[in-house]
Amino acid sequence: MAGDEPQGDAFRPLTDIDRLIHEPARLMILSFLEAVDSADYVFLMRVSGLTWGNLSSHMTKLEEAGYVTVKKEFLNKKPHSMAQLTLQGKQALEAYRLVMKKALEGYSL
Amino acid sequence: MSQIYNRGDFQRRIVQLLNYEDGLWDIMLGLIFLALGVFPLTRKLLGPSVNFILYLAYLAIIVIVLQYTRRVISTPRIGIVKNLKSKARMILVTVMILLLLMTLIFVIITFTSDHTLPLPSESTNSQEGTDYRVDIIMGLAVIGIFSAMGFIFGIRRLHLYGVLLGLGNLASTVLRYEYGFPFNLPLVIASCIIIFLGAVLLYRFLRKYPIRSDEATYGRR
Repeated sequence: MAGDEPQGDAFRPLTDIDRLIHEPARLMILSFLEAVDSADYVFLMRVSGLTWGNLSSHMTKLEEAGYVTVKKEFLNKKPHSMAQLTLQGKQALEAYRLVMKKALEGYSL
Repeated sequence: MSQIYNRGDFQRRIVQLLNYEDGLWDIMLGLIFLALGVFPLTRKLLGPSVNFILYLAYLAIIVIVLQYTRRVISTPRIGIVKNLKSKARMILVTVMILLLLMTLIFVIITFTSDHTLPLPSESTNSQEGTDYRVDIIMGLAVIGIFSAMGFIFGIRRLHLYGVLLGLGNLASTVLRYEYGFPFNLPLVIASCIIIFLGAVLLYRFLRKYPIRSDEATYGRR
């Protein structure tokens, strides 16, 4: 069993992956937000194909983690939310990308 | 969404949704080339200078109406985005400049005078047959630009538009100079096809993306 330890360490980067970003819908939301300055919920819903409820739930988690900021305002007397990727979110996305790239490097199926 | 894999795909999808999904761009393009199709008639009626000014005014009106319509029809349905970043914006701006330049060259050639460039050369004599080199080059340029746009933005119908407009222009010139057609019939037909496709896209867009009022009920936490 002594030989198990080094192997476990070797895979540590993969097990330490940011699971908040690893979820496909959230990864998609962050990727879209990375491509723009800011976007509202309607646009994120349209472009991602998520339902309103799903989007709202994922946005809450991302906002709580500090990866996005949501600015709430009223537009024509209706509630309107603009989302923006934070610096922390951008760094987390980049870190995730590097870990995944490293993890999948050399794979050929 | 399963076909999106990288950053470029995400940016392309955003540009597609913002600019090409509602069909308004297609309608605008069709209307611009429709005017070019009927220009020989209006030119005969109004004279080159008035015709040219009128065309510029027509272009301006189309662009303003497109922007307004997009704000009223499309934005409430697909949402608001601020500032596309880096590569996507750069590509979009480059393509728009190219398209604008192409339209300007096209307009200047066709509206100012038949004699500024050797358009199907009446200058090259009729014994050797008419020289359509300029028109062939123009046609290929149109096809090339639209194909490049189609490739960059991943919109297949732009390839069709390039072929329709490029060949339409060439065929129009042949018909006008060989058979004496009073206006650019093939270009008019090509434009009408594009306007029709734009209208179909707009209809589909309106059905696919109804105005959302959900944020009032779900969006507030």
